[in-house]
Amino acid sequence: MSKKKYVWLVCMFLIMIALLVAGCSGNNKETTPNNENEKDLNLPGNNGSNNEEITADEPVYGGTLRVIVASGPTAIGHPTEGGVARIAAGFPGVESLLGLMDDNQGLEPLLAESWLEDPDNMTITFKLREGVKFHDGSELTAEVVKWNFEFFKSKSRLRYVDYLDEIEVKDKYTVVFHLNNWVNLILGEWSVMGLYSQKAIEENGEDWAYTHLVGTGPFKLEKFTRDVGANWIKNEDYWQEGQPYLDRVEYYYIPEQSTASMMMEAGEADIWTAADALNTSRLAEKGFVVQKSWAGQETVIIPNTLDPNSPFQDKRLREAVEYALDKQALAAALGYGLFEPIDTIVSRGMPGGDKQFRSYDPEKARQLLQEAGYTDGLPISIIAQVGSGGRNEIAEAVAGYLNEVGFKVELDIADAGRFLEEVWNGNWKDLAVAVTATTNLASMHIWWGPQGIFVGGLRRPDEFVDMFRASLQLRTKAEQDQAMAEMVHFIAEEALVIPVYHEPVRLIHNGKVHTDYLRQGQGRWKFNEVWIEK
Amino acid sequence: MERLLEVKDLKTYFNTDDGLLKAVDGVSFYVDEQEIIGVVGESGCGKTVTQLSVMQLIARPGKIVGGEVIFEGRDILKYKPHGEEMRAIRGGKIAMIFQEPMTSLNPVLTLNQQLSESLMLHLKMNKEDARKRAIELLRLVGIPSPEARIDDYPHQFSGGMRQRVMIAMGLSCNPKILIADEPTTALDVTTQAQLLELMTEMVERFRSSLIIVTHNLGVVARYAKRIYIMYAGKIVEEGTCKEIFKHPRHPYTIGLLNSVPRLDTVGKRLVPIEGLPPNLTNMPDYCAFLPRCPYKTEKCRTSPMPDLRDVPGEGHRVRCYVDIAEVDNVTVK
Amino acid sequence: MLSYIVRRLLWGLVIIWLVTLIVFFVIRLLPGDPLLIYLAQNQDINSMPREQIDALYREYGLDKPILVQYANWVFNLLRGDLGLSITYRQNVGKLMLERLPVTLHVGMTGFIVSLVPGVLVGLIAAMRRASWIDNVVTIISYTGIAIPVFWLAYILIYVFGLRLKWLPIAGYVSPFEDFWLSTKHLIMPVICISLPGIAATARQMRSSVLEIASQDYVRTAWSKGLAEKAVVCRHILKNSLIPIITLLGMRIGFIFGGSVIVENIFAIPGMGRLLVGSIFAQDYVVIQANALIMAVIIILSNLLVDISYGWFDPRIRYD
Repeated sequence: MSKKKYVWLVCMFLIMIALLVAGCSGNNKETTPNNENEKDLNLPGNNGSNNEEITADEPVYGGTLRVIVASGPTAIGHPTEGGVARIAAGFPGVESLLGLMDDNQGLEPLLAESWLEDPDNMTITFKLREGVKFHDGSELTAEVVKWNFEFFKSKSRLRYVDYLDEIEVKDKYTVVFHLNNWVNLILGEWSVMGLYSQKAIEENGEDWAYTHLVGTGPFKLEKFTRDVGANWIKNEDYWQEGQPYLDRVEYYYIPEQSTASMMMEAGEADIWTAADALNTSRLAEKGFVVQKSWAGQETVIIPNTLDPNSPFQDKRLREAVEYALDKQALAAALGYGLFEPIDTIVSRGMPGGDKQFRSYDPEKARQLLQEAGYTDGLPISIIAQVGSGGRNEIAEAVAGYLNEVGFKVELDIADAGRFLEEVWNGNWKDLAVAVTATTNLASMHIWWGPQGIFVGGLRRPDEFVDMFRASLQLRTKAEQDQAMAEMVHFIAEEALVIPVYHEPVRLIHNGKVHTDYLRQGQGRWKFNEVWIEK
Repeated sequence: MERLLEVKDLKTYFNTDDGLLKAVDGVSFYVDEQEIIGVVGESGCGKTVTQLSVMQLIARPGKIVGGEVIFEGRDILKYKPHGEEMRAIRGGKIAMIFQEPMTSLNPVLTLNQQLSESLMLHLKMNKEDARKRAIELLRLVGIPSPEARIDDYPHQFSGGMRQRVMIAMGLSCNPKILIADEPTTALDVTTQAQLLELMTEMVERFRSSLIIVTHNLGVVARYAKRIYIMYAGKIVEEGTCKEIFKHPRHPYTIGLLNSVPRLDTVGKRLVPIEGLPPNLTNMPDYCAFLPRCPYKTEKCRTSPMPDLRDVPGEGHRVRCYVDIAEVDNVTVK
Repeated sequence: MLSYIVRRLLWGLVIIWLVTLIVFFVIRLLPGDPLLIYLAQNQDINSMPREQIDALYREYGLDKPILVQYANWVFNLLRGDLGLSITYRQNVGKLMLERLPVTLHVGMTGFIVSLVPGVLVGLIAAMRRASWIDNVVTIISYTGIAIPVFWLAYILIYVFGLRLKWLPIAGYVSPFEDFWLSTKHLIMPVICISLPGIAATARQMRSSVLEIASQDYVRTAWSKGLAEKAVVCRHILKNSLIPIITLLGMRIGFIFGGSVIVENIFAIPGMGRLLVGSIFAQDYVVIQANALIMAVIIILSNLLVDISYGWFDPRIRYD
């Protein structure tokens, strides 16, 4: 009897071992893509010079590009529903008046072949490219552009709408925006909004547009299924001669990292845009190509400087937090070689990002804490949004460093709902770990401006607000970059925000895909130029 | 004359966790055509296992380890338990009805389904014929308006009615032998009498033999021609009904008789047999009844288990060293 | 019978009402504001003046006292209106019509797949008790019950998707569109859903059969000379299925519970995935509708189970 049980136990044990081995033996090298792309790892970098190797190849026609993204939009072809996810999901089929240039260099003509911004007369004039047709055959005219913007406006989805007086259709291909006030953010915001076919939406209704899309882009939407994916087919009548190269584009919305990772390894997809740091480095080791962008997200710590009772009204404490952090080590530990430490709220390549204010100096941090009068340590709380496994590794690591220098940190890991509410209303206590994205004046406005996200808890000194106001009137990119750098430095100098690290957005592909996606940040994907090797 | 069924030296053992349990240990008996016999003993004496062994219905961990069951001249123990020959006998030639009428019928099948299946199997009837025959059988065993009730489920019948159904089922294929294992134990006394009457009437009508297995000597007294008394897996006394009742020779038989109410002993207290039946594993070498025996002698203690020996009276045999008839006649009467 | 069903349905309504109460108030106890999450995630929050945001609150009725909100919701429910999703900005009824068939397709397939093998395997194990088949079945069924679904899912993806490349790793295709492809997509999720079911059913079936096989009426059946097949099929099977039905009734609930994990891993656009997304977004309306629909389905399936008892066991009568 007992002998039998013993045999059983052994059997069970062996089965478990077998299953475990089967589950864990994912480390052997695969017969996946070519391995020669080590040098592409930093491509396209801030200078983008290495990129020539890719563009030097002769594009090939045909093929299907299969893209994995983390999630799809709730609506794909509706001009205002679906949020930011809709914009990303619509890249193959939707275009805007102007397009983002490579490497954060501004705007270039797209559906408008030229534009004129006249701050003195407070007008912006677009001259449309003639003969551009939507997928339903209707033509892109000034009327259609006007209709689109009226639509955005009617749905309260047009930023800076208060500045808009009137949209004038000057002639069939000329549209003039009349403003009542001019700020330099307007052009960049409005000119990149996707334009949709007036005819299609008027004929089929708004509900229809939740799952159908009619744009001018190089691919036509064949089928969109929420939470499944989108299939696109080549637009044979695309306005750019000889493009696109691909026959089809397929998007898959895969929420689970492991599932997506295995799809890449199995060759079920060519590109994955949503890999976390771990999977990115893992797939890179297996020979997949990683393309990093200059754009990305900055993880920062925001002390509550608005609450009069907050100890972080004292600049010395805010500085102490920054001195306490070994950002280099933090970035290395959490980023698998992808993250870069930052010294300001922007990454090191951005305007203002190249100046270091405080470096890792725990002794100094301790000293500042003493000076501020907290000789017995200071109990503080850090709120952070819950991550995988109910944790927030960044907040945990930060807490470790802060405890080293005399803070007594209590972690408050909040779900998205509470986190957002506390951040938005500014009632977080002491410190908040937040993920931001600042690359230009417009994003400065969204995150750090007087109406920015952390409006309730982050003190914007009058001086800063004045700088901000003034910057919005600057006309050239050089002036704007200069003003942005000054504001970034102001925040850093005052230690109003403690920068931690920058996580670049990136994509992973199988080495056969030729695309410069992410050189324009996340706001544009030139699908007309994408091709894949046979 | 050839016996209809002759069991010779049957041994059925159970291999339990506590050791080898000799439930049936060298039992021999026979039944002639149209004869009614009784097998009597306390619960656990092996009388039911004996009959199940005849049917080859012993489930694990039980095993028939020796002996012969000669039925119509053939040793049916040589047949595979689930082979076709054995199945043809089981239910067809030898039928068995069980102790618990409440649980011996399948609760989720109608009477028709349960009756027809043996008819279709053994008599190769088609569905309609089987149904007609089933109705007829139910009428024979006294189920009122059987046409209406044949599609009812067992739970819609009383215990006595169900046992009637069991009898009908047992006799449905005109078996040569019907084995009735404690057929009336679970029923009230009046129903018991009716059923026994019915059963004997039916076997007469069907020209079957009947083996009544019971713990109650009273039940068999009236109907059985011969009686076998079992104790601890062995037959301890056998003989004609008359002989057993008039001249019981084994102390156990005497005990049994004393514990049964009888018309000629009205006013006397019923005397139960002292003690408990023995544990059938690790049986001693000496007589199994010895610990409970009021007649035990020194010889009983020192000698091995006695063999069955012939005593005066037709076919009367007893497994005892003591000649009780001479020692004490008073206790019996 | 009819009056029994009506009575049960009325009770079901009471239970559903309790479910609405619990779901409605519990999710509102959670900190956080669904509109804020929606607006923040879409970065619309900066483009909207405060009045516009307030207008949105009014549109969803979120400005009203909570009891009024509840009353409005129930009132709209009675009119068949499940409300407007905050994240999807569409009628939830319409959303559910998209999602429910997918979950039912995957879930019911898994359910049915778990049924036959579970019963068969358990039956065989019981009939060949203590043989090597029984041992193997027991080991596998214990493993099947103990295995976490997500782990099994990744093992399957790794083996059949990545290594052998027999099956597509993730995604969903409607069977009306391409039946064969749809089935290929279905195989791994269905295994994940059905394996614990097979295991649990097999265990239950095995012990049930063992119990029934020792019943007196089975001995009666043997004594009639019936062949093993006849004894098992006619006398043992139907009786041993009775406890299985209870188990199956409970498994209907597991289908929806399990769909949450399975649908996310295999990227299936069903109720489970919708629920996860809605919980993260605190989309009250969708969560409420989701819970409500699950409650209705579970209540109906339990009723179905109870009615089917009557078919399996004639001793049970409904009056």
